[in-house]
Amino acid sequence: MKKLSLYSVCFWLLAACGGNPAGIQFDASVPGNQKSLIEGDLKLIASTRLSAGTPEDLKILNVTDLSEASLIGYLRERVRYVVGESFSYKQKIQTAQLSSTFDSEVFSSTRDANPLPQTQIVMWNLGSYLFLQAKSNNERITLDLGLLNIWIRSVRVAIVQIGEGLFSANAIKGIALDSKANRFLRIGTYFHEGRHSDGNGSNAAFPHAKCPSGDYKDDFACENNSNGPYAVQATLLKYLYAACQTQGCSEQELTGLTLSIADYRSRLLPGATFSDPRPEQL
Amino acid sequence: MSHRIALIFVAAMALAAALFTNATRYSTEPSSGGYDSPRFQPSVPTLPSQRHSSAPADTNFAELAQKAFDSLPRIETLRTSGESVHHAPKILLDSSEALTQVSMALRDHPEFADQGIEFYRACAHNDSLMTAVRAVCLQRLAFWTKGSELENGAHSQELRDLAQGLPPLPRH
Repeated sequence: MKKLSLYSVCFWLLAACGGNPAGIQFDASVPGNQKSLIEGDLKLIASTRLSAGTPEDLKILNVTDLSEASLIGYLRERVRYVVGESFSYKQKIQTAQLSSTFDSEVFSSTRDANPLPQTQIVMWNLGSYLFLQAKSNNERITLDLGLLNIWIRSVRVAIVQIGEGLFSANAIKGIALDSKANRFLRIGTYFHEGRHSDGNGSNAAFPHAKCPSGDYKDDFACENNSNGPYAVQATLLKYLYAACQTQGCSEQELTGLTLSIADYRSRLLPGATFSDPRPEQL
Repeated sequence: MSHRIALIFVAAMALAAALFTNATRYSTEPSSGGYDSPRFQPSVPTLPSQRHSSAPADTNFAELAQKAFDSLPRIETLRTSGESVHHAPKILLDSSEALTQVSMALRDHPEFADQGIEFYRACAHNDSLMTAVRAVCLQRLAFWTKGSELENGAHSQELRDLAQGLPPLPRH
């Protein structure tokens, strides 16, 4: 048994060293083409030089600078495991049963789609959601990720679930999925989900707030934190836009990025305040 | 000699046919479909052949703008689509295509600036459209009106802040 654990550790260590610069590990439920695109995205961020960030923007992102190393470091700490759309966490939970006391909408913000077709998953922070479940129910939760059994005891357990929507819905029309602009859009999404791996107390996981009005009225698609996931996403996309512009992105690519930035900025509620991003542990 | 006369006659007939086609197009009303005031005037000339623009050569600007306007993302469409709103909705990102067609046509043919301003003004004013697309329209409207549209109080402070906080326009 000990030997098996040792092999498991060695396997994950090896997996962490190869494939992508952030050492993100992919569950078998992630289709090969999706994994390949994400690895390409990570290589792009590891090789893209962004302009110097303003002190305000660095504070929002909680990084010391916008170097490739800092950005990869942000992801390495907050997005370690990726599971695919077919991954059913309810079947992989061990030693505790989930109750439905916590509203997952604060992470996924899906509308009540019934009787409409099921909403496609883009990406959501499963680990943070399970952490809040464990915390609110005072339970010990472990999640079976094949060779790893992860004890959910920190908001920064860093397990995210992705779906086809990350590539099909989260893309600029008529532009290749491996174009710079579409890669930048997805990178913005990784950073958004990364911020859900931060926070403590009532602000653990930086949950979204219900929008009181506007496009997303009554959806959990707004935020009260000036350094929350949407703020992080809009801030990073601003720099990625500039990089895209200097690297010859087309006008449509740049327009797509601008629309995204406008959308994410529009979700910050008036009076949003800065919150402590230090991650909580049980 | 008679061969040359015949050639000139054929060329003249072709020119007349082309002029007649354009004259017919002038009288065509833009399609209806929610493009509120101000509407485009029907007497917009046909765009010249466009080697550097994504706009089809045989489309006039009014038609292009009307089609673009009709395709802009509406809040109601979003609400009934059941689409995830955790991240920027697909219908919003899809509008990059229509906005780009309009901006490229305007860049290549600044003589249509007045019609372009009308398009951006109608878009920025229309509160049934998604806020993000209205902000992008307002930013472009401000560019074409040299900033005056941001200062005349016609738009909410929230929308103005959003438009002013956007990255610089691509190649205008």
